[in-house]
Amino acid sequence: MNIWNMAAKDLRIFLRDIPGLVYLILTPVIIIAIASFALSGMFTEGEVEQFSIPIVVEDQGEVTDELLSVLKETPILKLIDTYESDDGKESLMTRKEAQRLVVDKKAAIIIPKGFSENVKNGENAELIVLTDPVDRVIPGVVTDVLSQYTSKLSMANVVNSVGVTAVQSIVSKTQELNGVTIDPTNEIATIGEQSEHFTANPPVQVKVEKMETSDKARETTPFESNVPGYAVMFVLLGTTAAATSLLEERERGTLRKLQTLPISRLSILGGKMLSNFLTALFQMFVLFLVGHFAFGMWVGNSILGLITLIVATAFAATGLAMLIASVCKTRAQASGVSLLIVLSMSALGGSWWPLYIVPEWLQTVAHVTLTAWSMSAFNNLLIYGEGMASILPSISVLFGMGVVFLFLSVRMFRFN
Amino acid sequence: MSVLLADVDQNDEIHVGGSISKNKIVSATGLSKSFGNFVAVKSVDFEMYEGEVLGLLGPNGAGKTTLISMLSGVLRPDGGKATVGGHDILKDLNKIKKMVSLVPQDLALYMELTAYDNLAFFANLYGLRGKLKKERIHEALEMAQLHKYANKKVGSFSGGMKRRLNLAIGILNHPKLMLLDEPTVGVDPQSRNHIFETIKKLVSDFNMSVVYTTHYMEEAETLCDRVAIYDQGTVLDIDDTSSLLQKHGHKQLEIKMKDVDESLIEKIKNMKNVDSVNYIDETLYINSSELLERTEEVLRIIREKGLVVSKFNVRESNLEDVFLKLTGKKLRD
Ligand SMILES: Nc1ncnc2c1ncn2[C@@H]1O[C@H](COP(=O)(O)OP(=O)(O)OP(=O)(O)O)[C@@H](O)[C@H]1O
Ligand SMILES: [Mg+2]
Repeated sequence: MNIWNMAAKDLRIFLRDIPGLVYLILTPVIIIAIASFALSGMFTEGEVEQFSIPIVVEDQGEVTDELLSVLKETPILKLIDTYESDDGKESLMTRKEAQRLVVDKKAAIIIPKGFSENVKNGENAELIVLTDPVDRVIPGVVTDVLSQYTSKLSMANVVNSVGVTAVQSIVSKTQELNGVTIDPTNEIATIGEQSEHFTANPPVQVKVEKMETSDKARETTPFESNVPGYAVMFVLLGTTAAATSLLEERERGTLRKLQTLPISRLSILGGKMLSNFLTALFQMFVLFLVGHFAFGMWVGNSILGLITLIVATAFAATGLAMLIASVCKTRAQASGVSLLIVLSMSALGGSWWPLYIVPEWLQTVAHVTLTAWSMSAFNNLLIYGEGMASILPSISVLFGMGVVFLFLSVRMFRFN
Repeated sequence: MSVLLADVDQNDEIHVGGSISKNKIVSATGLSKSFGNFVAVKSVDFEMYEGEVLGLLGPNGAGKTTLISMLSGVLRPDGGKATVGGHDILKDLNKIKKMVSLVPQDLALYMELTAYDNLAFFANLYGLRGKLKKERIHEALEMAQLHKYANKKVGSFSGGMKRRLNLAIGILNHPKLMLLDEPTVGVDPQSRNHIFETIKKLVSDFNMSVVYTTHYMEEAETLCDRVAIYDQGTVLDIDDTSSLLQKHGHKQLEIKMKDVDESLIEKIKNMKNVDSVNYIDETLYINSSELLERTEEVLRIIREKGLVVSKFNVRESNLEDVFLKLTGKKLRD
């Protein structure tokens, strides 16, 4: 009862603090929206992002025309073959202009003079890609697209020249031996056709198939990872800030008064824990509701699992916040320490990016943070659509951490 | 000794001033508290009785707050023993907490909440419910003269209003012993009088006892039945004001006149039982334990010398003088 009285007082103060409430809910919602829409190109299919690439065409010929038509049909590329010169006229793209544009466009394609000719004659034919080494994505994409085409061309050329050479050698030997004249034109034409056929339909191909990983066909959006990611981070920020009200009570002297009342010290701390925990729960549930109803975040296949995980995370966060408040002497100290701990845990534990992209040893280290346990469980639920069973270890660890933190905070808090 | 003390409980009758018999509410022996190497309270002994207002008069840093913190269960003493209402402060803290209330020097208020919410919060923690709770809150608001402001945020209150609310919270549980830690700091004279009236009323209505901590000697003189002169964690003397004045105070003769020379001062100094003579700012200050007898002699010499007295006064000594005598320093700088 006293615990509830203590907590109710904190909640009443909390509800009167409008800027605090805004910070608790609105800030994470804004950050989630920004982070998710910024990354949406990497997740949503259908409308693929296009890269504008300058192209300098110095050559004329059959092969060049074909290459251009292939490139124009490549959905990821948007070719820029003209530019506006100083006098305002549209001119054909030049090497000089392309070099200037690379800074901006990150890559440019040059088809040098004689390209078609060289390909036809089976001589060394080169395409040039200008790249900006700073960018890691666009030059790779452009080079890939060109390599695919040039390897097809090379394949056709090699097959053609090997075939024709073989036929001609057989023809000449047969003529020598038998003294007859043979016309291999038909065979050579057939080789040409065949090589063209195989170029269009390579015998070895990679076929990409989409698996249906859940009952419902579903596409992952950034929200399934960003909502839990930022919810966990902001709940940690929120609870650690709320827990410093314990230090505030000591600084202001209300804690001294509370100690003269017929209530135990444990109920004073218990009340703080309860109000912190309820605040954390409220914040998390609101963020997930906003995530679901406003951003269309998928809630996974196990609502019970999701709720349990939210409760476990809020509990662990409360424990951590109480521990920080108990160890620190002043509020200023506590806010500094909280910020350091929460931000490093968010980076390390996978609030900002998925854990699987970091080195394996770091993934192991990351599991000292409650964020890592929480985030991997949220990923299991919301990205892989797994059930309660898959998150039981995380939930146990989170509750365990909470209990240990709370125990330590009760032991370490100095009332006077 | 300790066995004897442990046996003392609130039913032990102590006879004060002959006929009136009173119950003991606080009894402390050898109470001490240190912070690291610093000894804040040094082996304090004192007793007080139901219905008594005891002043704890001492300068900043004397250890007043530390002493009453031990009586209210905020701090655990390092040594010594004390009982409050017959209960040991080390063993029966929970019983003590129900019958004692501390009005802390630092305002123990939640500024974000209204006056009513503050009172309701503390009333809840005292276990008050329903009608009784409402009555007590009403009574406290009345005492603090804050009825009109009950639903205003405490943060918007003036310093004096906050002080009054801080004090009002202290009566919610109708304590048998109230520990008031400088409750009138920053309060205007009118509010201060109101607070005094309230304290007196509580004492007479509920036979409540009060420890009143202050460094204003006027407050100690007007409000308190007995005063403890307290400095550096030690009670130097504890008695009612008039006895303290009698024991440690001297009346002082103040004569304002011009042209006093060394020979006159020497003459007065050599009189029987004259403790000190000072001539400052055209005023002669004379201390003596036989002031009346000496006054006659002094005035005779002045007349012989043909000097003109422009002002004449016999000043009663006050607790300030007693404090100066006992500690060698002033209450406040
Ligand atoms: N928690 C503490 N840790 C260390 N020293 C302390 C602590 N509390 C009090 N002291 C020291 O003990 C001495 C007595 O302090 P206390 O607050 O009891 O004095 P006080 O008589 O109430 O003074 P004031 O009139 O200024 O309120 C002071 O020198 C103070 O610095
Ligand atoms: Mg004090």
